[in-house]
Amino acid sequence: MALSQGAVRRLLGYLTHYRLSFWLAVTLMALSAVFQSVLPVIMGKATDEIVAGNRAGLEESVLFLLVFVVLMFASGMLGQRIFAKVSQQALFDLRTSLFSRMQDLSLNFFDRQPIGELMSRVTSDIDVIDQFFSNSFQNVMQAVVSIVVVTAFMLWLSLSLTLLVYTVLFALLVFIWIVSHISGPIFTSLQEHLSRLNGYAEEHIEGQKVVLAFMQEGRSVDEFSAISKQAAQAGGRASFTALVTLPASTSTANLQSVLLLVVGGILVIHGRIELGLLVSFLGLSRGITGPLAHVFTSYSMLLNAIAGAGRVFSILDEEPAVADPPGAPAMPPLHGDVVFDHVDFAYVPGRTVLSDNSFHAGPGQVFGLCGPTGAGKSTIINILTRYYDIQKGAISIDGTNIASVQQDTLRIQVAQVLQVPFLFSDTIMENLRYARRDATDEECIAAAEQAGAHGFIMAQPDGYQTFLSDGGAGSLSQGQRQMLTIARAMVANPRLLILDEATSNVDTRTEKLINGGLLKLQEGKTSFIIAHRLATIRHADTILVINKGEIIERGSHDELMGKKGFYHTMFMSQFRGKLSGVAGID
Amino acid sequence: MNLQNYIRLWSYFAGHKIWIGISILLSLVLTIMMLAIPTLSANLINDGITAGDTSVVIQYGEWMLLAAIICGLAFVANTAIAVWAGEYAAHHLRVAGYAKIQTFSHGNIDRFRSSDLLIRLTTDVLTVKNATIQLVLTFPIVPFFLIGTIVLIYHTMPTLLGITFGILIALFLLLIVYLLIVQPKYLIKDERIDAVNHTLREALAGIRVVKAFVNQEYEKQRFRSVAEDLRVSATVPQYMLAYITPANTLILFLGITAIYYTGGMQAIAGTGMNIGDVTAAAQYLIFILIPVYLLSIILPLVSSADASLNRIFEVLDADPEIHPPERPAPFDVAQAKGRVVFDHVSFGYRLPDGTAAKPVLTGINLEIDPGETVGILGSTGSGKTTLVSLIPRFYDVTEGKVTIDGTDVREIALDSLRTVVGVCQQEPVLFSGTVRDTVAYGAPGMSDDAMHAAAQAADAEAFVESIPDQYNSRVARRGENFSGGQRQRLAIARTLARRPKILILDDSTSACDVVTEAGIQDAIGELMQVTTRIIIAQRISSVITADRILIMDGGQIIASGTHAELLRTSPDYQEIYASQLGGIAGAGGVA
Repeated sequence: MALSQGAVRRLLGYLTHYRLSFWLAVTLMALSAVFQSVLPVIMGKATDEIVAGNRAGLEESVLFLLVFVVLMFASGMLGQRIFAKVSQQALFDLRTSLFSRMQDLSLNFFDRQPIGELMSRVTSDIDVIDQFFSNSFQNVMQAVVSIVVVTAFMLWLSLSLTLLVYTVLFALLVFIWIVSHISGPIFTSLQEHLSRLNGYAEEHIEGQKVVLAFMQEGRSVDEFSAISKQAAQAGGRASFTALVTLPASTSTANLQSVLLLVVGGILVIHGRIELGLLVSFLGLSRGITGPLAHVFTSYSMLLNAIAGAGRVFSILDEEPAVADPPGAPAMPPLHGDVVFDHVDFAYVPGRTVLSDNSFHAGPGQVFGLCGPTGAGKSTIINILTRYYDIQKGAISIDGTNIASVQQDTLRIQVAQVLQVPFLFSDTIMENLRYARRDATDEECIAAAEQAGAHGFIMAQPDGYQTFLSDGGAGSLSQGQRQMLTIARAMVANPRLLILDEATSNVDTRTEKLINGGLLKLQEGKTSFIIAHRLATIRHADTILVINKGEIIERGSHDELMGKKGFYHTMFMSQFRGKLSGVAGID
Repeated sequence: MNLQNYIRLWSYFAGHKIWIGISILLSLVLTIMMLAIPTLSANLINDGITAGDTSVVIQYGEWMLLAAIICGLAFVANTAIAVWAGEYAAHHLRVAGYAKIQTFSHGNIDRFRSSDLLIRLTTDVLTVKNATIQLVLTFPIVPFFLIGTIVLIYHTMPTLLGITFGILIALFLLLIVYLLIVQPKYLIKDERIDAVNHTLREALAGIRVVKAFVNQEYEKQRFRSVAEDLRVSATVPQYMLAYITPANTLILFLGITAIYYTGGMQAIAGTGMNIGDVTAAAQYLIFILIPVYLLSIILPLVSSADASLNRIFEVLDADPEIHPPERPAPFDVAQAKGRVVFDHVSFGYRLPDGTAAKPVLTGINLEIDPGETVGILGSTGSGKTTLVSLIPRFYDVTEGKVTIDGTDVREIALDSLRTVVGVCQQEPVLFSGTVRDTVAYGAPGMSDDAMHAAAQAADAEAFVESIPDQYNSRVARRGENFSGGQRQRLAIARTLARRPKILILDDSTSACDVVTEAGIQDAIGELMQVTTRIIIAQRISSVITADRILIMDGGQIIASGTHAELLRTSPDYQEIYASQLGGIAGAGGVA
């Protein structure tokens, strides 16, 4: 893994944004490291005073020692405090700008990756950046300062002893270098084994009921055990390489002491240096081995943080695929006259989903869309609300091309009820108000009454103030949640309505309840209804039959039945030959 | 904290406990050598350098080198043992947990939830592993180091004992502050992280709703507020650490300063102190920080591993709800006829506390003859799936009994029972592998002919043969590279491949179109010689040709008969029929 300079600079940019605080924190923390590095030198001086038997000198040295210890504490504490504030502020900025960007991106961005994947990427990437900001950055910075300051002092005190210390350090560096080269592939292999293990466990625990039904428990345990064993072996290798740097740096420090004492001791005996200088060196050399190991362990965290930052930046740099033209006007209030004029569309270039679609829906008309799975029904409404831009042709509402106006001003006038009801973890009231932030409580309650949801809402523990944890998944039935989304659409009071399989996930009885609300919602609005249960769209003014991206039949239910074409076949196959036996039909 | 958990973890090392003993021994050697080095260096300074004797310097140097080497080797060896112990514990907990989960019946799985079980096997095991490694690596060192340094300081400079204990107390106070005040703040931070993730997940999962109502700005504002909460709660422990970490160093160096002052004064006064002793004492004092530091790392790890162990052992101690019969009744799978009888059956799901909840099925009496096809309709929650789950004993009845060919299912050996009964569940769960692996899942090593026959009967052969690698094609996790209808057909083929006598299709053709569904139903009878068929469906067209259609409501069978009979007699059936297939047919049907 190579360090991309751009990403490093950009990541640090989030810290240096708070220029004054950042540099103040860095200066203070660096000063603290300097003060700490000076301490062994003063101790060396104290040693000389002791050897010389100079009481006053010793007192002076001890006083110095005290002053520097307190300075080290004060600057370190202040620096860390300021840095904590800056780094958490930077993380806040990073999180919120990432979230804002994702809210602004078009749906095609979310099609490319499952939400779960996006989630885990975002959270784990921000997490490693957090680790880096909160721990590694400070450690590395102080370590580098220590190494520089200590080396400077050592050179000032004695070149030969410095060389001695560095010879041993060099051995450690070589060792670390070798380990880091080995550890790369070892950690990659561990990741592979772990993801295999997690993948297998996830699949077979989710599918445990299948394992059970097919009596494959024994085989499954054997397979898991084999994978687990391999993962344990890979994990052992990885942990060992990661942990072995600790004994290595400890041994290095010990070897340094031995060498310094022997060589330095002989030099002292021969009168070449003072004992105090040797004592200083002993302390100084320890001030360099520790930080060096720190830099090593932090380096891999830096790499992780940069890799994570790279992925975060790639989202931040993403541009919304559907952009408003510069200076686009707002969509005027809709009457609901919708025209599709020779529309071609593909989600992925080259793979056409809709080709040459044309139709006209007058204000207040109900349009039914039907056809086999994957025919392109949902696509039509996706492009009608401009979640995606079309490649050819034009879509206009009331004569205005929807690509020429601000997309939000169009969307706010269109309400959708989708197959899977989605509610937020909030109170029922707030969920209703979600459609229009300035709606009053009375308006929300009125909408719920119209949608037939008032009754069960009042039966909830806190009525409209009941908190729906998990979007009501545990406390409300699918049908009840769907009724809430219908009520929500009513609060929006849209001019155009889209129902995408709104009742296909509920049973017949619930569907009946919901239908009442849906009919109220449709009143006076141009409506598009997608359904695979043909009974749902039977009463539509016009039914469009879509197959393989083309409108192949259109007309009312009776007209289409009369044609004895595709629609007729779809309709009749539901009865499997039983129809003629019970009901008289032509 | 629960010591019991660690004792139990310890029991997993049965047969390997000697290694833990060796590790403790290595820790002791390591500590002695670490402490020997400053002691030797004090002698080197006093007897060698100060006395001006080069040979003594070299002699002590050799001793120190030896100590350093032994220390390094012991440290490396101990690291290896610690890593082994961690992985050993992880592997055994993981496999034991997984094997336990595979004995779970549906009731257990419902209560634990599979996502939660997965976390116990992965995240929790990882926590235990890391704690084990750190425990083995450092826990014995803590008392060794503490005792060793105190003894040595006392030995070198008895007058320093007071200062030493003062420093030790100060350091431990800081440690307690860290553990009791700072650590809990991190838990608050974790909660806030969850809140941020929750908001993020919701805004992403509901992105369509957000955009449909043009609430992007509102969502951004919501996110800012939880992110701000997180920022505040993350800053708090960092602020505290900003005092604690430098304070540790402060205390330590104040101690060293004191040693230089008192020791130095004594040396100057000539009361038997040497300069080498002063430097050695200073070094020992630095050593005192080590056990305190180690404790600050291990203790949080140990307490979170304790919580993880609780969760893992909870799985291991769970009682599988379905027990195999102790003495199975004689039951010949090959001769099974497939007559299924529900005799006054009631059932209620067990609550998390083990008690039975309100009944989901009450007083079910039902006889299904060999060769009969029974369709079951009913609204969500009416008990359809529950009813059929009692046949292969995914759950056991609360009252009454279910019999196959006259034998109570609870008396049939589980593998015989589940060979006779083939269930195709609502949500087609496919495992990754090849198409061949998928179809042959229940009968590994089955013949190609049998496999083709099953695929044909499930109407899967045509689309399988249209993909390049045919039966060797990859099936991705959850079968995501196949459409919903294709997944369902592969799942049906998998069930059919075992040639069950009694076949249960639980809404398992819902994603197939009506024509495909009809084809599958016809082929099952002709190709697979399944005798008894039970078909649960939402669509009336799925059961319209069944010999008998049951309508369930509120855990009871409220109507039963053929399509024609029900259309005449059952208002419930008429209602379903009218709403699903109504319109032109509605008027004629109800008449």
